[in-house]
Amino acid sequence: MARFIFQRTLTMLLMLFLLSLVVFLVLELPPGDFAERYVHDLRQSGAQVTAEQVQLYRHMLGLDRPWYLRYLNWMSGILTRFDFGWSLTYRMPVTQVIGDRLVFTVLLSVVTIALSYIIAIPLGIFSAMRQYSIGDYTFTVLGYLGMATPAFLFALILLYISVIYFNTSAGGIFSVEFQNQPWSWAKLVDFLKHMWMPVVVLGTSGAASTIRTMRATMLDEKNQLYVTVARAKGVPERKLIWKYPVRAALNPVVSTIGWELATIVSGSPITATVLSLPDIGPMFLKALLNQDIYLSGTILLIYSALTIIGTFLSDILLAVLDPRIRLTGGTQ
Amino acid sequence: MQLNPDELIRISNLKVTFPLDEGTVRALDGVNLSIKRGKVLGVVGESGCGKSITARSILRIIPDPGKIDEGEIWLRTTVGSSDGSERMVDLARIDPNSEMMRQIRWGEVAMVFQEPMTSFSAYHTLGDQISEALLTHRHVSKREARQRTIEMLERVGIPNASTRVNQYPHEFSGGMRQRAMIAMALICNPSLLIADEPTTSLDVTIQAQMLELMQNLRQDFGSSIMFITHNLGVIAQIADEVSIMYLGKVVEHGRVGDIFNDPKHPYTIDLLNAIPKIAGQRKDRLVAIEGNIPSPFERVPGCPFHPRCSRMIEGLCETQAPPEIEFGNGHFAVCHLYPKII
Repeated sequence: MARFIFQRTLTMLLMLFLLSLVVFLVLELPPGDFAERYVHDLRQSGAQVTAEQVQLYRHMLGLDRPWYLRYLNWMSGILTRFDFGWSLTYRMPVTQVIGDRLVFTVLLSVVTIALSYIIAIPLGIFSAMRQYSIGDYTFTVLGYLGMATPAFLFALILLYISVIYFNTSAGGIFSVEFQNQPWSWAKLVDFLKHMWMPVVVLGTSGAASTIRTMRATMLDEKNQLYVTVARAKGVPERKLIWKYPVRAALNPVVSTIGWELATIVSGSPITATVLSLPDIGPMFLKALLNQDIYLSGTILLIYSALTIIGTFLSDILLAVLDPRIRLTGGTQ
Repeated sequence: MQLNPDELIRISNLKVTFPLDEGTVRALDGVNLSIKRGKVLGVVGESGCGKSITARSILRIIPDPGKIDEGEIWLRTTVGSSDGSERMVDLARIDPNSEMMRQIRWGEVAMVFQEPMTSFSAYHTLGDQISEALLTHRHVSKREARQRTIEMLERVGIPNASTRVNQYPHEFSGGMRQRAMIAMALICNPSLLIADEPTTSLDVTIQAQMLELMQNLRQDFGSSIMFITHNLGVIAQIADEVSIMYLGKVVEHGRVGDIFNDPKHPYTIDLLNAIPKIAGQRKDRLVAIEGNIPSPFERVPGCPFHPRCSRMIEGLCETQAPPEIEFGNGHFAVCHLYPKII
């Protein structure tokens, strides 16, 4: 087991290195750079900018150095000082620009994912154990609806309902009066009042597909011989369902939990825009458009690093859950 | 209903059907059989004749959508009595989800299944799954259960039992898993052990070891055994009595010697002829019973075996259900060939 984790860790570190290189190169690929973009905007607004000034500006930002030097500089900053570089548009360190938004996004996503699993897994089990019952059909229909409705549309519908029928403003994360207040009990209540909508909107499709996965695997597992053997053994029904088929059916669900890590920070730009959430998604879009290379690079790096780390965690979790995987990974 | 003093379980006129979209399958069409205390009953028949369904009916674990339509399954049991005295329960009539049924399962009637590869959960150690049986039915601590599990594994011939007990099913060979299954079946010392083709999926040398093991254990534990197989050689070795099944019915029953030396039903005769003989000529073809088992949705009128029977009586066998003829010593056959002279 230890050896298995060690091997996986090495692979992951190598992947992370390659990934950072690819991220940087991809962002380098489009023609032009931030200086050009900036000057273009200045000229649009009627200012006179000479070619020398552009060159000087570029030099100031360090954009005239070869890409590998900039890459090394960027990486060493991240590794030694946790400094992700300088955002050219915001004129602030990248860590400061995304810090708050990152915290909010992670908080929102963790709550969303946790809730959707807590609700979806028992529903999936219920659906499978009572296959073709009214409850099963209800959850199946809701599940398909949840999976098929685009999140932003769902957000719009919920906004409409809450404004028209409940007369509350539901966009954003605070009401106007709490916007710049320090944290207090009333502000927390207000925050929770606003949070439910993004949680529902963002969680629905994930929960819906988890219900489907859980139901399908449970249907496979509950008719397996080892379940019949456990029943023949006189193990009480409720206990045997949770101990045997649920345990086996959790595997496909758990193995995808790691992938959710990436969605934790990426959120979804369109939904975030509709609900006016201080999410990281809209900022990423803006950074890309402005060729703000360190900001967009950092966000992209975080996305993809979390994908790799998530896969790593899934592997480890699966090995913990499934003794057969443990064996093949550990003894060869 | 009264069981004879030497009887442990008696099944009478058991009918089980599977209502499917394509039609109704009559899996059991009036099965009669009985098992005496401490004796081994061999149940023989082709695939699909209802051997396994009979066994599963006793434990009330027939797969969906199968259900018992008619019949009785009387078992002598101490479950549910406060003073440990025996009484008789009709398993066909009690609720399969009842506490009574739950206690009878494995506490009184245990079963070894045909596929050792899938009988255990891959996610739990063998020790966990075996001691679970004991913890479910007997008042023992986890420590004791583990100790008993290790002892049982040793008795069924699994070496290094104290380390093997912590291993997972995939770390065992098929033969070893079936040994572990037998250990699990016997750990609560059941009064009836059902062995549903326990050796079919194992290779021949392992089969022989397994039979030897079961014979030894039988002497030690004194359980009655219902041994299901399609291998007559195995029956000759292990059984006291034999029931021959065809299409959801028992067509002949008797002591093992009577069945082998003096078979009465044409199906039994054909089955015995179909055993390959080592002394035979090389050029001899293997004997096979003509025809196939009819479609499970079909209902064969008269005697179910008549379309394949070499001694069929025209105008009788295909119209009238054959009578049960007794030949003495509990040997009987369900056939038109024997006029009621005896």
